Amino acid sequence: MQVDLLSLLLFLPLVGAIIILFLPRKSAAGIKWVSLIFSLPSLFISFVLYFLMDHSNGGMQFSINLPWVRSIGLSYHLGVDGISLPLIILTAILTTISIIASWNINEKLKGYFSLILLLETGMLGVFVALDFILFYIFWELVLLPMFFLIGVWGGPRKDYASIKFFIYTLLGSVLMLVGILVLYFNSGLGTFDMTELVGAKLKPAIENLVFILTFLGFAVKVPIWPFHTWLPDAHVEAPTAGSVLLAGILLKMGAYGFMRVSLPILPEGSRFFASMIAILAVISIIYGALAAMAQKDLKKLVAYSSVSHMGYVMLGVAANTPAALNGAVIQMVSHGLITGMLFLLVGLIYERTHTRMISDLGGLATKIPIISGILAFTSFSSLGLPGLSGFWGEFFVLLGAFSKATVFYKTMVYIAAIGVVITAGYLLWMLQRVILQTYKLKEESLPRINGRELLTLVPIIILIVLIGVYPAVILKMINSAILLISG
Amino acid sequence: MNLDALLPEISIFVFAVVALFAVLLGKGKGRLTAPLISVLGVIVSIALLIFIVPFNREALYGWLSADSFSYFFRILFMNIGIMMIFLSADFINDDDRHHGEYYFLLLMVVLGAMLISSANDLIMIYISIELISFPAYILAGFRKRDVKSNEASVKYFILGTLASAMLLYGMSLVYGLTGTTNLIEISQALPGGLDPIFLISVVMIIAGVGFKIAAVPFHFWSPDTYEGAPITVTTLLATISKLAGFVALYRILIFAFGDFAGIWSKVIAVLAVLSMVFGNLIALPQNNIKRLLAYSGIAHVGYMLICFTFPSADARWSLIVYFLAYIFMNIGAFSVAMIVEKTKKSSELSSFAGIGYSNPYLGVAMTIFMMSLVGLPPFAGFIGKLYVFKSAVENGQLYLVIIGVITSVISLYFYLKVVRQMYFEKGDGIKVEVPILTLVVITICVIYTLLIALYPEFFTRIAISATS
Repeated sequence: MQVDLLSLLLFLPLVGAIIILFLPRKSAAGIKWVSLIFSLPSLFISFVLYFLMDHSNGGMQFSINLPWVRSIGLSYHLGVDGISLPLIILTAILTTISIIASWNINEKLKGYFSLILLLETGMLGVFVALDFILFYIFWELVLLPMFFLIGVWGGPRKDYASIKFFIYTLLGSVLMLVGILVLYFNSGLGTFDMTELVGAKLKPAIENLVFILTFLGFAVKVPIWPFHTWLPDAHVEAPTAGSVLLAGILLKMGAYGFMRVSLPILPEGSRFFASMIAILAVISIIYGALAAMAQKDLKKLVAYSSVSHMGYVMLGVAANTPAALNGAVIQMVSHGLITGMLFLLVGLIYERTHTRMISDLGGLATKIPIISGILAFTSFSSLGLPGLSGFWGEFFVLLGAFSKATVFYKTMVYIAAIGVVITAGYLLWMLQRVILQTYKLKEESLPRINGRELLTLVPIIILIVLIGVYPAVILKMINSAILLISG
Repeated sequence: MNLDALLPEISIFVFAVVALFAVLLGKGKGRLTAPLISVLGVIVSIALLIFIVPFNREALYGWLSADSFSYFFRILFMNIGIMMIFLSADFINDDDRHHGEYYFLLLMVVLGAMLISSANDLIMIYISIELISFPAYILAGFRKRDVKSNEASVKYFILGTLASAMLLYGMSLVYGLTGTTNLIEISQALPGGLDPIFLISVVMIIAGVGFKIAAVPFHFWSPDTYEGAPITVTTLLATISKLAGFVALYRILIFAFGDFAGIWSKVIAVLAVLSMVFGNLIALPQNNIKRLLAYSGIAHVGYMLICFTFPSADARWSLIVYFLAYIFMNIGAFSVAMIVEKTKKSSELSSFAGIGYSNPYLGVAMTIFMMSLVGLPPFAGFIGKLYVFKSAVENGQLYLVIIGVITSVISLYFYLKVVRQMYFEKGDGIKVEVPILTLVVITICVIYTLLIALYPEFFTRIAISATS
């Protein structure tokens, strides 16, 4: 029997989380190293999967399907395809980087690091689960660690932000659960298996109802305007690693839900509501960009830029052409890398200057040139400079949506393209105020970047350039999977 | 007359009397002898039930029928009984008097719950309910120098007897209509069509039992009684007493009035909605852990009542799984509350401040119980709610499910209040003392709260076989 790579991938972090709970509280270094060591196997396995995977096969691979609760037809069904694997690799990379980035956390270490590993299991679980209830369990499993990360290690308004995050996203997901149950009973298949439910024949009214219920769950997570209000609060208060994982992975869960559930299982519902999603997506793009431009807090700016960038993903989902969906997946990966890095950089700047207010900063390029340079690099990638990863996602989404050749989608693309311009506007303006201009802070000099910090940034830089220059590294497997689900 | 089916009940009674007199006649206060004899009694009864008592027998001329349903519930109630004795042994300390009486009354409650599980006759059901209620009235006022304990007892007694009267009135009307008190004979003798007198009797019975299970709008006694009573008695009320009420409801509605589900299910649906909505909403501003858990219990009654709003086999075993989840997460939560109250001398939520750091294990355990009560995976409460909602959707009760999930989200806020106290607040740093038996109970509850969620198949099968 073949080694069950997916279960190992999934549960090794959980084992690490449990082991950390039993370590002595005083051995700070021990706790950090154990958590790092337990995040590495998943990272390794995710790359092994990448090389073992048949990139031209769009179906589920490395599947494992065991009965779990026979009485109601639940199974332990895992598998990966070209849509989930890039996100799994992204999760594994960002988790390891978050752990390295958290090396200077000094209080309540045990809780902190075991929660990050627990979070990793939850996030990976969402991307590998193919049983609907299993998917839901992992989906919810993510909430509790993130709630604690924000609430215990967060900023001044952590209490408010953490509970808002928890309640808001739980409300979305319980409605999704109702949707799952309605789907289960109306499919006539008597199964919660996502791959089998693809063949479900639903009445249009039921399909639309299920679509709306699941839409609410996914939309809150993405988040699409007007369901985004939890996001700036959560991001601003979360510790750096929390923000990285929140923006890098948790938002992708929502978009992944649309691609794994809405498009293949509810094709008619997706078609029916496509225009609505497209409009909300474009509003998110423009609104997020304008809101980002108005922010005084650097972290909030990055948070609103996420709303804007996830809008492109949703536009791709709405357009539902192969090119647009390819673009959407690349945009998810690229946004995870870019925004993750932006949050890391904001964290580094904050540690040095003790402020995130853009108006207090300025001229950082003279004091911390490397960090400033990387900030500029990331911003260029974020605004879609060709040759960096941010370009391909937006390009394919806009191309795919435009190729629908209807007046509606053309209009949407025109408006979304304006969003690209506004994005360039707020990012360049931010760069001007933060790294250029005159230096205003009291400190004579700021500490240069150290080796550990560089270690968290360099892998992301490499990936951004790699995907930017040669997107085929992931595009082939994404495309094979997309061809099976696009309408 | 065959009494062999009643052996476990007889054994419990004998041991209860022995415990009572051993303390009365012996020297000292009986702090150890009474719980020891009681635990022994329950264990002997479990052994008798499993190894000796024949299955599927009737006793007392058909008043009791030992079917698989009663088998499951008798074992369940006895196991809860053991946990209650463990908690009481740690909680009822030397300052308290009357240890013998305490355990005698405790075992009487267990006995009443066991009898109700196999009751097949209205009179038996009534007697069993009273056998649960009267000891509970006394136990609620057990700390007789404590004013709040007295208030709890009196309130519970007055409203409880009112409820019993209503129940009895409803039962007498049924007798008038059918000329029998046997549940099966009632179901055959009930006239077809809608008889207004029958309607009144259904409402009276549901109202009477509604008091016992604390369903809105019959819940007014519960927060005050839960707050004032000694916390082990509160746990007893929240678990054994409440579940016994459900068992009575189940037996009467399904066995006797099964053909009239169309009528009573509507009444129950109203109670379910009211309990879910008001239980959760009123819990929001609570700052006392006992009152919070009281309202939480009311809300959970609402979720459980959903299972009575449509006739389906799925609903019945879903209800049993929900019971199991409910018991373990509640006993766990009450146990933690109990030792916190004992150390900090207060049951305000603020006494939980910083417990996550001073007592890491208690913090994790309480978080698990709270999240399970919300219904978050991967904890038992999730499986319970999933099953209930699943069968409700299957039977077209989508509106109840929507109300159910939205009130669950609302409930997150007040359960999180406890979690936030434990982790987000800095406490006084005083370590909570954890007595060994309580630790055992908490650990059992943690294990089951996780196990029910991780391997639901086992518990589902038990539930299916109990209701078939």
